[in-house]
Amino acid sequence: MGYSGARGGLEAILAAEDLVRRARDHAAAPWAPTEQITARFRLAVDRVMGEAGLHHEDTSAAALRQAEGDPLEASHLVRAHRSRLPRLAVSEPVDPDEMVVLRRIVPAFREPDGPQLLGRTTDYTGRLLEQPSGPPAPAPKPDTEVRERTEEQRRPGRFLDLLRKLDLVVDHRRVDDPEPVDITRTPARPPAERSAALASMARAETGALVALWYRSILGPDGDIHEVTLGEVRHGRLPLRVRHPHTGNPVCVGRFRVTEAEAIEDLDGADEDRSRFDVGYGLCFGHNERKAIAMANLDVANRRFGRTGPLEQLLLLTTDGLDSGGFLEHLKLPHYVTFRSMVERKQAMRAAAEAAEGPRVAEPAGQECR
Amino acid sequence: MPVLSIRALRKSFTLHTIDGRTVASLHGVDLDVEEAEHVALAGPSGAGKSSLLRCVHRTYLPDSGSVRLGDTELTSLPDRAMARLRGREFGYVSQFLSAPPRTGPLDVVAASARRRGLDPSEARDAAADSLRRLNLDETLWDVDCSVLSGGERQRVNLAAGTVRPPRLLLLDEPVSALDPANREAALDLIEALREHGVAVLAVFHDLDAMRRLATRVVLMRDGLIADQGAPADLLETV
Amino acid sequence: MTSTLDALAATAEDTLTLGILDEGAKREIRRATLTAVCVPGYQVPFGSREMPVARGWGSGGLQITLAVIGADDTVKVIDQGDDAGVNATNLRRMIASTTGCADTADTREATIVQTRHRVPEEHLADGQVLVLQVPVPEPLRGVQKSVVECARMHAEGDYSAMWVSLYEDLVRNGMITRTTGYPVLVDGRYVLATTPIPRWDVPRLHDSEHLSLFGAGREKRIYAIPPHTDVRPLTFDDVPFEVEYTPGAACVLCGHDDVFLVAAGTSGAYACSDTEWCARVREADADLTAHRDRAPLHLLPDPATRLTGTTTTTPRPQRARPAPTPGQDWALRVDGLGKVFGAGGADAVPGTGPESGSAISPTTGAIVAAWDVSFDVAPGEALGVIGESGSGKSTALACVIGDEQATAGTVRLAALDEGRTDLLTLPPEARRRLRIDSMAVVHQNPAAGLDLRVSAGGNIAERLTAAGWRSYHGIRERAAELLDRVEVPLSRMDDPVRTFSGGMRQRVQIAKALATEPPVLLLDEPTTGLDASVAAGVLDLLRGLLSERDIAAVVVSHDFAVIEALTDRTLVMQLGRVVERGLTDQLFHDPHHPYTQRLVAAARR
Repeated sequence: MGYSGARGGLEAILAAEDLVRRARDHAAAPWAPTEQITARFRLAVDRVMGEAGLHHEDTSAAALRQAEGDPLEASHLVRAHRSRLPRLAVSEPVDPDEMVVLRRIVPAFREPDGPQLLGRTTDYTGRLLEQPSGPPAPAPKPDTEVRERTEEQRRPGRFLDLLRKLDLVVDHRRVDDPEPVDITRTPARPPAERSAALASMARAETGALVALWYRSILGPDGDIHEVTLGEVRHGRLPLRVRHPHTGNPVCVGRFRVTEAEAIEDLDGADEDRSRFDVGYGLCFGHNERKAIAMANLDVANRRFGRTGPLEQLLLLTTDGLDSGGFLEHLKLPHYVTFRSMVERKQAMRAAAEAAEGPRVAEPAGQECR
Repeated sequence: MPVLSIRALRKSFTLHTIDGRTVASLHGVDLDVEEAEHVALAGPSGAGKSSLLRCVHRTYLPDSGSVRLGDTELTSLPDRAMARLRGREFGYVSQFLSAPPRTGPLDVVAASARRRGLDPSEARDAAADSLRRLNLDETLWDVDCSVLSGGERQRVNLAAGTVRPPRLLLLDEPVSALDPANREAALDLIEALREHGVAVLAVFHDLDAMRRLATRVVLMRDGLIADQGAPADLLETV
Repeated sequence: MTSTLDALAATAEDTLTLGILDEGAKREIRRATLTAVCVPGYQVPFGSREMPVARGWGSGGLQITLAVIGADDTVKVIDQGDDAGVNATNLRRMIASTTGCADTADTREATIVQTRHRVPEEHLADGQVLVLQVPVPEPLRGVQKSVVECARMHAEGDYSAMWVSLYEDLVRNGMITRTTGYPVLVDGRYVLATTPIPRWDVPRLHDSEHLSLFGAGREKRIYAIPPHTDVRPLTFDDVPFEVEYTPGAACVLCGHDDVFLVAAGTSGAYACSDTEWCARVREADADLTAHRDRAPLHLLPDPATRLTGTTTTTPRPQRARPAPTPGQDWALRVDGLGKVFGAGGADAVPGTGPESGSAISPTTGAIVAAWDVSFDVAPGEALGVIGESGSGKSTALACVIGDEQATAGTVRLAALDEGRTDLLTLPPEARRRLRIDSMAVVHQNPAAGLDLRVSAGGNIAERLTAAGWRSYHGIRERAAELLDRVEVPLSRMDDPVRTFSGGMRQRVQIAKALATEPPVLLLDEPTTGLDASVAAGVLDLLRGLLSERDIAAVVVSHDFAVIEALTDRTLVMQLGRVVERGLTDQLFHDPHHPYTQRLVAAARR
C-alpha cells in the first residue's frame, strides 16, 4: 500500500527511509568516518567529485557513505547540495601548465622533456585479488630515499609544446578570448561551443563517456579511431579567486585533476594530413579513463560532431544524473498514461471490428486499382 | 510584302571534332516567298536545300545574311521569342515524327492547333478534321504514335504541321513514305493551304509532287540559287 | 582576521537560510518563467539545477514551484490526479518544509497546483497556477531526433513532419492513435507537448483562466500557457480530436462518467483518477453541473463520423498567383551566378575556365565551380543546362535552390516580390519557404526529396501541409490526383516509398514537386540512375507534365536525350562557365563550340 492511489503515502515513505537508515547507519560494523572513505576509497571519491562537478573530498566522501557506495547517487547528492549554495565567486582562469604532477606519462615519446613519472598507479600490478583477514602490518620504511624534486620534475614541459615547436600540430588557437560556457547556467545543446562540450564531458558519467568513446569506434554509426596519447597527467593545480575587497587574485587552495592530450592522425579529404590534431581532456580527481575518453572525443567532436550524431550524443546523453533520472522515473506511477494508451488500443480494435475485416485505407474517393 | 524574305544568307560549319575543318553549305541565298506561294527547292543532294529550310527554322544558325518572316528578323531574334514564334507561325514537317511517346495522333495534332491559338475543344475538332482528310483510320487516333507505321506517322506529322494553317510551312520530304492513295490526299491537303494564304517552302523527293504543288521552283546548286521559274519551265530542263 | 573565503561568504545575502534552491537560482528561474509567459508555447532554456529528487521525478516542476512560491501560498501536489501517491507526497512535504507555506488537497484552496500527468477535474480559476512536471518537452522528438533540426522547425514554424505523422497514423490505423502528451498548437505559433496529460485534459488548457507552467528539469526547458491563450490540439479540419472514452465505464466510488477514469483493480472496474474530486463528489461538496459543462463530452470518439468526411466540399488553399509584370516575362531569372569553393572569392576566378582548361584557381587553389552563369526561364518554357560532371551545372542549380551558398550573382523569382528581391540575400528559412510552393526541386536521388519510410501519399502530404492544407480528405484527394497523373497505381498510395522501385520513387518525387503547382520547377538529372526503359517512362511523364502546365522548368542533365526531350532552350556548361546557348534543336544539329560538338558527337554514338 502507499505506492499509488491509496492513502497513506507519507507513512510508506517514512518507513522506506527508516529501513535504509537502519541498515546503513546502524549496521553491525564500525562507523566509516569521512577520512576513512577519502583515504581508502580515493578513486570512488574522485569519481564522484568529477561527476558532481564539485571538488571537495569530504563532501564527496560523505555523499558516498550516504549513498551506500553508489557513485551516481552520491553525485546526485553532491549536485543537489550545490544547488542549495549561493555562488560566491568565480575563479580566475586556471593554467594547467602550473600543475605540480603526481603522475605523468608520455606514451608517444620515449624520452620527453621532464620525467616519465608513474606515481600512484596499479597499471602494472597484477590484478590478483587480495583477501587479507585483518589489517596489514605497519608500513615498512620506504626503500628509496625521498629526494627533493627539481622544478622540471615537478612541472615538466608539455609534450604538445614539443609538437608545436616541430610544427606538427594544426593550430586551433583563437585570437579572441571568449568566456567559456557555464553549462550549469546555460544548458549545453547542439550546436555548442567547444567549452560547453568540454564542460559536459568533464561532468559526464565516466562509464557513459567511455561507452560513447567505444561506441564511436566500434558502433555502427561511429567514425572515429583511437588516438595516440600524447600525455596523461595527474596533479595539483592552484585555485585563485579575486579578493572581494582588494580585487587581487588570491590562492585559496589546490585541487587535483587528471589531464590528457590525445594526438589524432588527420585523414579527411579536407584535413591537413601533414599535421596532427590534438584533443584535450581534464576532470576533477584522479580518473584517467575519463580524461582519456574526453580527449579523444574532443578531437572527434571537432571533426565529426556536426556531420553526425556525435555532438548531440556528447552533450545530451552522457550526464549520469540525466540518464539515470530518466530511467528512474519509469518507476513512478504511469497508470494515467497507460490507461490512455489502452483506450486507443481498444478504440482501434472496435473500429476494426466495426469495419469487419482488416481496414483498407480508402484513397479519397477513387477506386483502388 | 513577302511572307518570307531571305537575303545574302550564308551558312558554314566548323567541325572542331575534325581538325576544325570548315564546310560551307550556303553561299549567299536570296529568296522571297509570297503569301499563298508554294516554292519548291530542287537540286542535287548537298546543294543546300535542307540547310536552307533549317536556317529558316533556325535549327541551323546562319553565319550572316537575313531571314525575315514578315517584319520579324529571325536570325537575331532571341531564342525564347524564336521558340514561341515557331509554335505559332511556322509549320515544319520533316520526315521524322517527334511526338511525346504514349501520345495519340489526335493529341499530337490538337496540341499543335492549340499552340496556334485554338482553345482545347476547337483544337480537337480541327485535329480530327485534319486527320480525317489525311485518311488516318479513326481507330488509330488514340494509340501511341510510336506503334504507327512510317506512312501513318508522316500523316500525323503533316496534320500537325498544317492544322490551323500557319503563316509559313516548311516541308522537308513530307510525303516520301506515303502510298499513292494517301499521297494524293496529302498533296490535296497541302494544295488547299493556298486558299488560306499559307506560304510554303518545300523540298520534295519527287518531281511529281513538285509539279503538282509548286507555284515556283527554285533550283539550288552548291549552296546558291542557280535558277528559278515556273515548274513547267524549269522542271522540264532538269 | 577573515580569510578570503569568509569575506566572500559575507557578500552573499541568504547564506543562513539553506533551502533546496539558493535565491540566485530562483531569480534565474523566475526570469525564464517570465520569458515563457511572454512567448506562449516556446521552450525557454534555463540553468536547471539538480534537485533532491531524481531528474524525471519532477525536478523541473519543483524548481518552478520553489521559484514562484511565497510563504502565503497554498500548495497542492498531485501525481496521476492523486494527492496521496508517494511522489506527490514526497514533493509536497519537501515544498512545505522548505518554504513554510501551507499545503492542501482541496484544489479550490490551492494557489499553486503542482501536478504530474493530470489537470484537476475542479475548475482552475483566475490567479491559480498549474505547474506541470514534464519528462519530455520536445513534441517533435517522435518525428525528428536531431535537436538542432527540432530547433529549426520551431523557429520556422515548420511542422509539416508532425502533420505527416498524423496523416500516416490515419492511413494506417483509421484514427489518430496518439495517447497522452498530445501535441497542441499554442497561440497559432508553437507546437507544444502537453506533458503526458491525457487527451481528456487537453481542452482544459485552451482559453483557461489559470496560468499553466511546464518545467522540464532534465531537459532544462520551461514553457508556459498564459490565461486565455488559444490552444488547439493538432488534427485535420475534417478529423475530430478524440478524448479517452470507454463505453459504459463509470467511477465505482462516485458513479460518474464525466471524469477521467483509471482502472480500479483488475476486474474491469474504473475509478476517478482525481481522488480529491471524487471524494468531494461523494461528500456532495462539488459543483456537478458546472463540471459537466466543462467536461469534453463533445469530443468523445464517434467511430461513425471519424473518417467519413465527404470528399467534394473540402476547400483547397489557394495561392494568389502574382499578375505578370509588364515587360518581364520570366518566372526565374539568374544573373552572374558564381560559386567558388575555397579561398579568394571572385579573386580566385582569373585563370580558370575553359580557356585555362581548369576550374582550379592558379592563385588561391580554390575551385571555381561556376562563374558568370546567367539565364532566365518563362512560364511554359523549359530550359536545359547540359555539361559533363564537373561542368558546374549541378552547383549552379544548387545555388539557385539554396543548397549551396553562391559566391556571386543574383537569383530572382517573379513570384516573389515581382522579381525585385534577390533570393541570395534571403535567410535560409525564407529560401526553404520558397521551396514549398514557389520553386520545387526534383533531385536525382529520390531519397533526397522523399522520406522513404513514409507512404507515397504521406510524402505528398508533407508538401501540402507545409503549404497550409489542413483537410485530410482534401490532401488524400489531391495526392491521389497527382499519383494518378504520374501513373503510380493508387493501390500503392499508402505503401511506404521504400517499397517502391527506383522509377516509381522518382514518379512520387515528381508528384510531390508538383503538389502545390509551383511556378518554377528545377530538375537535377531526373532520370539519371534509372534503367533505360524506366528512364524513358519518366522522361515521357515529364514531357507530358511540362507541356500541360504553365510551369517554368530548368532541367540539368549530362544527357542530350533528356535535354532534347524536355527543353526548348539550352545552356552548355564546361569547367564552370556557360560556353554556348541556343535553341535546343539548334545546339543539337548545329553546335558551334568545340565542347558542344564533342557532347553531340558522344550523344550520337
